[in-house]
Amino acid sequence: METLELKEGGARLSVERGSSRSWLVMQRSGGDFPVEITVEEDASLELAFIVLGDVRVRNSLTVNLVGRDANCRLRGLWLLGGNADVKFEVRMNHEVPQCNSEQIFKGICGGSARSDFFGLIKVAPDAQKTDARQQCHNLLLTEAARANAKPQLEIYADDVICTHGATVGRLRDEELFYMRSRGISLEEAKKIQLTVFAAEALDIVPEDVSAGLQGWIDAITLSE
Amino acid sequence: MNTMLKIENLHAAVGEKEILRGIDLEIKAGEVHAIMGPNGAGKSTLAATLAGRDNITVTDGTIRFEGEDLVPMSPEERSWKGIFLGFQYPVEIPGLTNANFMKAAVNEHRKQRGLGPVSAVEFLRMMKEKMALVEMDSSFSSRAVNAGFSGGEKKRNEVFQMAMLDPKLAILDESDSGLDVDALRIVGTGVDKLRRPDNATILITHYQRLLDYIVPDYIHVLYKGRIVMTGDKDLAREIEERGYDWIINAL
Ligand SMILES: Nc1ncnc2c1ncn2[C@@H]1O[C@H](COP(=O)(O)OP(=O)(O)OP(=O)(O)O)[C@@H](O)[C@H]1O
Ligand SMILES: [Mg+2]
Repeated sequence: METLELKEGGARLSVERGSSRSWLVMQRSGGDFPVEITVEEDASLELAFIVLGDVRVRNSLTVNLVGRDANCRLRGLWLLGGNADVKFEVRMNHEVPQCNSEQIFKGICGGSARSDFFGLIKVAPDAQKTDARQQCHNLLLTEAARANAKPQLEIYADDVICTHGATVGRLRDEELFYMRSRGISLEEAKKIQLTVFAAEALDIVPEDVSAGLQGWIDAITLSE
Repeated sequence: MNTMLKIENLHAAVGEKEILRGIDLEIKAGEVHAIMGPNGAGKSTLAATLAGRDNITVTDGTIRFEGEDLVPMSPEERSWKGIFLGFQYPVEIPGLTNANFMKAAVNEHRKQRGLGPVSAVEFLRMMKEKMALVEMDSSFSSRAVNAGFSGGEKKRNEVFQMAMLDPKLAILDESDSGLDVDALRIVGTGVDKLRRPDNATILITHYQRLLDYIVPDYIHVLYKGRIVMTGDKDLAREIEERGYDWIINAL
């Protein structure tokens, strides 16, 4: 996985026919980042966004699957605290048949942070055999934190698989009590729950990067 | 013998609703107490109160464990002191493996005793030994905690965790419910093997069968938040035959 530095003003990229690219975008400071990526025939794209801390970020990502058998695995994780304000818009365009896309987003908001996720999956009329999946799940750690997750499907083909799920929830008391009853401290139990929650969005990310996030998770656990 | 747990006039409420209404119970090291009673009597509430569940408020009375007031202690502190609750409904934790769960728990217990983290070799040895006690397949160590476990597998997993943590006082809330006859024997003999002169067990159960494997010193009948009868091991057989009406009607 290569690190992709996004500059203010964004980027236009493409993954050429038959090739595969794997990019990691780490965002620790704010800005507006419109990104458009075209994935050609038989090409595959892996892309992970990790947004950290007390930042104001506007991500607007468009992925165009323009050749048959193109595929995209997209991941997003935001660990926010303070007055962070993150907007994440994704448009996954299935323009031709037989492409697949899988998106997993996980957001954790502590402090007075807020996140707004909007995810559109658009399947063109002749994009039959599309397989498009999207999940966006959020955890709020404080009363003041806010999260919105709005998935949208626009499907003009009929022989497709499209699924999406979006949730906003809180730490689960039952699990915390169960862990505490085994002697795991409340703080540690919360960290475990957050780590487990975040893990699903980190499956394509190298181990050292995900291990490096533990400090952020610990900080967010304490930040309330 | 030493008094381990002493409960006096315990009243406890969930929200506005008083569920425990004056419980007295004394448990000494080496003893096994069974608690029986009809559905809704307050058995699980008593167990959860002892474990420190935070939605339960102690409104009156005292709970002392080895002389210390338990009421202000957090659930984790109680665990460090040696209290273990086997849940009637064990909780699923998707994404966290049984092994990592137990490693975190064992290490916190060690930390409290001023010890460093358990070595990988020692931990594996413990896991293997304690899983063998309840005849759990080793594949369960890499599965997420209770996630997708059958009812009986969950109960075995509770007793496995008890064995890993080696508590002074284990409270097993219906650890026998949902077990097939073989699993009941395995769990029953497993728990019995963990009996020592320096630990104690509270068995909450609806059935006499479990008590064939772990013979209790006392059986208490809980009804509407109070202990309304205490007897010896034969009381379980009598309840199995006659139900609770004769006890309730005599009140
Ligand atoms: N969170 C809660 N909110 C409201 N009522 C509760 C709550 N928890 C327990 N109760 C009530 O307290 C009473 C005792 O419940 P408890 O679970 O302790 O019974 P039990 O003796 O364990 O029953 P069972 O044999 O069915 O397991 C019941 O009437 C139950 O509905
Ligand atoms: Mg119960």
